[in-house]
Amino acid sequence: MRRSRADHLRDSKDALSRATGLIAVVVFLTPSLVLAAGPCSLEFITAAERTYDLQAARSALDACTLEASGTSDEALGENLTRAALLVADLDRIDFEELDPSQGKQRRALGGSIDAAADVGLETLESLPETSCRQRLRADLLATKIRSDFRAKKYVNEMKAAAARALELDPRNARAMVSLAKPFLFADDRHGRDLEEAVRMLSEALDVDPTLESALLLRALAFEAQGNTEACRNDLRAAVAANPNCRPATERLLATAPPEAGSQPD
Amino acid sequence: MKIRDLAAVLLLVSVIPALFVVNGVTVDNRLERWQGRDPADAAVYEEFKATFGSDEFVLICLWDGRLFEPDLLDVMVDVAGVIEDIPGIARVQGLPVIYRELFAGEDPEALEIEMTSTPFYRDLFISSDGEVAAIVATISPPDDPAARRTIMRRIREAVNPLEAVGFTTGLVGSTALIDALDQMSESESRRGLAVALALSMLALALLSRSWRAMTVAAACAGTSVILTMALVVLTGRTLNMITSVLPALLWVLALSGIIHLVRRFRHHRVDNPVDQALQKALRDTTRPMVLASVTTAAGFLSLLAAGMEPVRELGVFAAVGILVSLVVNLLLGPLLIRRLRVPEAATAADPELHGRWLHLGSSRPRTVLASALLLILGALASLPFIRVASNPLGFLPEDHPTAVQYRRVSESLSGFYTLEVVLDLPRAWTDPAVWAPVDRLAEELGASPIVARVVSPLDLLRKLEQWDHDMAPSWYRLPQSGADAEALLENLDSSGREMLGSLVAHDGSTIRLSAVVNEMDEHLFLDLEEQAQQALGELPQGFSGRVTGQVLQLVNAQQTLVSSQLRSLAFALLVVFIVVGVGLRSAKLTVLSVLPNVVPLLAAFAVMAIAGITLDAATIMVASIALGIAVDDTVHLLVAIDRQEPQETTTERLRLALEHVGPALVLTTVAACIGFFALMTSAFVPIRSFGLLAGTAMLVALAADLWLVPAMLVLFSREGGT
Repeated sequence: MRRSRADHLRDSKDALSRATGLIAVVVFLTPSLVLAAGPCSLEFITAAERTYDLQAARSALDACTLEASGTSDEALGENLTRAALLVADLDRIDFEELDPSQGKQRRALGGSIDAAADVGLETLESLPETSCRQRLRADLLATKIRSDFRAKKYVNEMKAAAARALELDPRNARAMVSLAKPFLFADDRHGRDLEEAVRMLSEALDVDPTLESALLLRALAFEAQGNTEACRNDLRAAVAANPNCRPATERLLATAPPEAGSQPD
Repeated sequence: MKIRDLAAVLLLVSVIPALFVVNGVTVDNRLERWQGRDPADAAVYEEFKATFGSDEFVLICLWDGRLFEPDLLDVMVDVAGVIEDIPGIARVQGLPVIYRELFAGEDPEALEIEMTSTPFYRDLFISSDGEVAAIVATISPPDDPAARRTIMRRIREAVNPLEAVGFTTGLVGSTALIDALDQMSESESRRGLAVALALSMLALALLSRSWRAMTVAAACAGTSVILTMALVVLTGRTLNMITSVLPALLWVLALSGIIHLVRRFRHHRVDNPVDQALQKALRDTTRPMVLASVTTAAGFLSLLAAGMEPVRELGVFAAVGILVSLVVNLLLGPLLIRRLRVPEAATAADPELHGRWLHLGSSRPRTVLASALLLILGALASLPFIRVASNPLGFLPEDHPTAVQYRRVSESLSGFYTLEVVLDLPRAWTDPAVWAPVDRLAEELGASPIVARVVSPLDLLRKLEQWDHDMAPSWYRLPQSGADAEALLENLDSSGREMLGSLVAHDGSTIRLSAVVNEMDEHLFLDLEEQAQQALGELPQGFSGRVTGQVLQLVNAQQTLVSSQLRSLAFALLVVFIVVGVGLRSAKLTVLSVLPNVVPLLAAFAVMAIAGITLDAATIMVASIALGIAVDDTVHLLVAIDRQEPQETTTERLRLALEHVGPALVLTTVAACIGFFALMTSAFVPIRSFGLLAGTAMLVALAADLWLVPAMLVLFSREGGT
């Protein structure tokens, strides 16, 4: 028996209302769940990470510090480390935007980054070794590398931690990203190798195609190579993966080709 | 007369455009102008600069502040950035740059450890006690006379914020010193010239007792000075510390000629109408004026033998100026005398000038000659006490900020300039086999008490080795092997590469050792050079080297200048006496002219010995100037003697000659001496010394002409039976 046009229409409406309901659940319910989970939860920290919310990250760090004190709960310790890394990373974004002449602000933010990183590193000391924790250690050390002096001081340790993370889990995409960082951010004399960075980040994306940090860094590597189109593609992919990806949206705007009408004659 | 008047009017009119031209006179005391002409030395230095870059720097010292205070470090970083942007600054190094580049403006504590834990920065960027820091700005100035002055002005402006936050700053180094000398010589020569002119005019007015006569003299001398200075500008030349005395010198020399003419006119005017008196005056004075000008010009031209361009320029333009003043005095002088109606002399003779003292030479010849010989002996005995030295810092008063800062830097931090040793190695500099001899040479240089620090590329290697081992100070040492050294260099960043490029040539087997010197004494510096040469001679086979540097070039030029000037002075004396002989056509008078011209020179040298004035590029000029002035008076007197009737007795001829020219000689000498001695009030030491020595030479020259010439003439005439 053939279905009438009205049946089809009703089915479509039902499907739409179901989808709308699902979206509503995702949009409205997830934050509620996140809030309900408490600031020291992995969900809360992940949400803060995706929204680049420094205040939330700090709350998470404070809460985790409070909760972790006096306990040897590994999960709690790992969350504390993640929160510390998030605070250090978000402060680092602000730090990079400062002019070199703003010494006082740079030192203040630098102090804040170091303090958060030190909390994370200290916590990791008491946790059993895993690939994820070695990766966290590498990234915490990376936030401390802000000068040649600091590079000399931390870069070998940082590389070793990332390498160890990959040794423990060769498919740890985030560890691949960590290992790619020195190739991307070092200067020519200190082993800058954009091709190697792109290769390693692509490897990470093979494992996790929506890994925001890998997309962002590969975009930067492409930009440094002069490959604007590939750069913009990765930035778009990063925004698709996380619509709140502030660095990607800002970079997309900055690298947008000039409008045809605004071209000089 | 009409053509002469027309020419005179043209001369006078030409003063107006000349004044505009003179307005464009510039001062150029560039260091390059004081370097010698030795082609071998110059080639070595040029090769050094082409290989390693400039060795000229300004050391910006910071005292009295907390060096590692983060906020103060921020100010230092800002200041370093501003200095880096100044055109002509090739590179900036020092505490703030290290803080910015190595520490990204963070980690002041780590910076303090880095700066103080090894000898790498010590006595260069930071004092041994860690209390004083320096920012070193390497200068590579554009080829523009004002470039260094502009650079210094902008550096001074740039360091103001450091003063504002409590630091005491000091700027030392050859650029800073030449700038201080440049400014002081300019202001002091301007002030000194004004005072000297005013005082000499006052003396002239008082002594001649006629403002008209004074106006003629001043107008002629002024015209000569302006036209000569216009020629300086028109020929594309500039003034410098030495040629800045040219206006004062020409003023005196030009005044001398015209005073003789005016005095003779006023003398003849008593019994003659204007035109006749003028003709007689010209007849009396033209020959001595021409002869005096030619001899003085010849004396100044002897400066052409000097290796230093400024000294040669002084010689040329003083000679040209004297010839210009001759033309001006002979053309414009008569016109002005007529137009300004210069009055006759109050009496045919000036009784007060014709007293017994004037004729002392003829009345007591033996006493005068004995006194002169005693003076000569005394002067000769004092000659060994003259120090041939050049310390440009000594040109400034002791309390001058630059002098004070130099002393403070020497005591607390580092040096002001470098002696550069270029080493050719038998192998690449990274080969450990060459390290021991290089280190030994650096140690030998560093052992000198005047060397604050020796900068060697091996220090850089040590620092890289330390950095490669987590910056642990105990690793401040040479790498284990050449391969390790190469690997360290592979990792050098751009600023490290730049530093390496200033220490090692591209071929990798020629290196530079810079000995930073904290002493301005030329002799000690030359001892160091000798020590360096000796150490180079003792290097193992396959090693060779040479010593060079900007300051070495300057010091060598000074040394050559003094010896070449003493030789050329002897030559000038010979030329002057030949010209006098030809002009006077009398062997006896020519012989007579020798002693009165040598005595003022010796007197000037004696004063130098007594007053502790060193013989250097500035004071050596006084000998030539003294000769020029002395010969001028002698020629006037000898011509006057020669003009007297031969049948008269020697005493009578002398009496008449002295009555004719004596007052003019006294007048010019007094007017000029007042001007010269007024220069002694200057704060700028070379001008002060010049005033004392030139004034002394003039006074002694007058005494020699008035007393010694007659005394010798009387004695020789008796011996010759005349």
